[in-house]
Amino acid sequence: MRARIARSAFAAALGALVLSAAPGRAQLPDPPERTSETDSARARDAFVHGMELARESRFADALEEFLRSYELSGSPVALFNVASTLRSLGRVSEAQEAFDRLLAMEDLDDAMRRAASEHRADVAARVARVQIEGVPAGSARVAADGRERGSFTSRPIELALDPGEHALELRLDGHLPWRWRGPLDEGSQVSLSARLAPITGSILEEPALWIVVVASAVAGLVIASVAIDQSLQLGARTSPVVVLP
Amino acid sequence: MRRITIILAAIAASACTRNAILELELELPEAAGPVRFALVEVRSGESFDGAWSPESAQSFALTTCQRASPPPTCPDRTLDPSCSQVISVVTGGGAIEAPLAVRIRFCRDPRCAATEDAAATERRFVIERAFYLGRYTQARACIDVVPVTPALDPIRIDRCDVRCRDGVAGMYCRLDGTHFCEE
Repeated sequence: MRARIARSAFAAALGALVLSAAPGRAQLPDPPERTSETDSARARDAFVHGMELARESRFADALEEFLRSYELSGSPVALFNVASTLRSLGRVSEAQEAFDRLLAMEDLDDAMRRAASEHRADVAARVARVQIEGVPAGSARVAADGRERGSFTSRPIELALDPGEHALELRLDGHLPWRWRGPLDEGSQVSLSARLAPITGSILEEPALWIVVVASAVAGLVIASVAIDQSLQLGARTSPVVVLP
Repeated sequence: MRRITIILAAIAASACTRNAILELELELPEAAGPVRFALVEVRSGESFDGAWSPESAQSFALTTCQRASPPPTCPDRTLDPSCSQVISVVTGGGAIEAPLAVRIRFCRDPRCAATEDAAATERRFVIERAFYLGRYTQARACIDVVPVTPALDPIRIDRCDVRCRDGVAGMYCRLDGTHFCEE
């Protein structure tokens, strides 16, 4: 029965069109340690609903149902359908992650393992891989398209992203943020060089700056006062001129 | 910060300082023999004693002069440019309200440095009040002939005979005694 449901979902996913505008990155839920009968029934209902949605090519909605089903049951079939739906949505990096989790399950039957392996290879070939080099040592926080991708301490920093336009931001303590925006082709491997400018103390905290500012202000006032003073002084209209001490 | 404020305030206050100028009109006599120069010296106060600062001295060559005979009184006469001079006396210090002493020596040398100039004759004037802050004033002194004897008593020029730019009348004080130059 499980295998039949999985195959049906797999077939539905295969027939899906790849959507270009993917929603936010899905966070794979952790499977439950134990599943109650109630949760099993709800998981089954969500799974069945997800299948119906997938048949209607409503893959985004189907994904939500499969995720709920997996969260309630921890079922490999639900996870397989999560991965397959992500693949159908063109969210190949997330699909790869889901397939990896699935393939790590020990109790996976052979048919599903084979299918999962094949599709995992397919999405892995489509994932765009980004290496960010030149980042100084430390815990660098990386966000892709506004979503945190975690903290990285190893170098170079490696990211797996879906093909398409992306905006990356890297933050490292003591440095100004580094940002990159650009397109990534399917299956491409891109190496980016991040030049992080160290943050120096605010120029407003520089005593020399204030010395210059105050000195300039005083000099300006002196010049202005001399100019004003000159303008207020009477000028002799005749000569010779005698100035009393 | 407080020091800076004080400094800036002092600088700003100093910008309000002004001066005053007296335009001293002098009608000088014709040269008399070897005496061909007039050395005009001014200083604050009424005393003519002691040394005078050479920096406040101006020398003029005496020339021929067309004068009516007898000449009108000094305030009423039209000055002949060939024998009259105007000296601008500038002050900005604390001597604004002090009298001004004017000494005119008649000498053979422009700076009265000739030996014979030790006995040079001179005329003395005291202007009761010559200056008003931020104002031009005018006073006049007329010497028709080179004196042959020293006249050590100064001629006093009353403060109301000192003309202010605004003054147009025969005297330059208002009925209440205040000067036209006074606000």
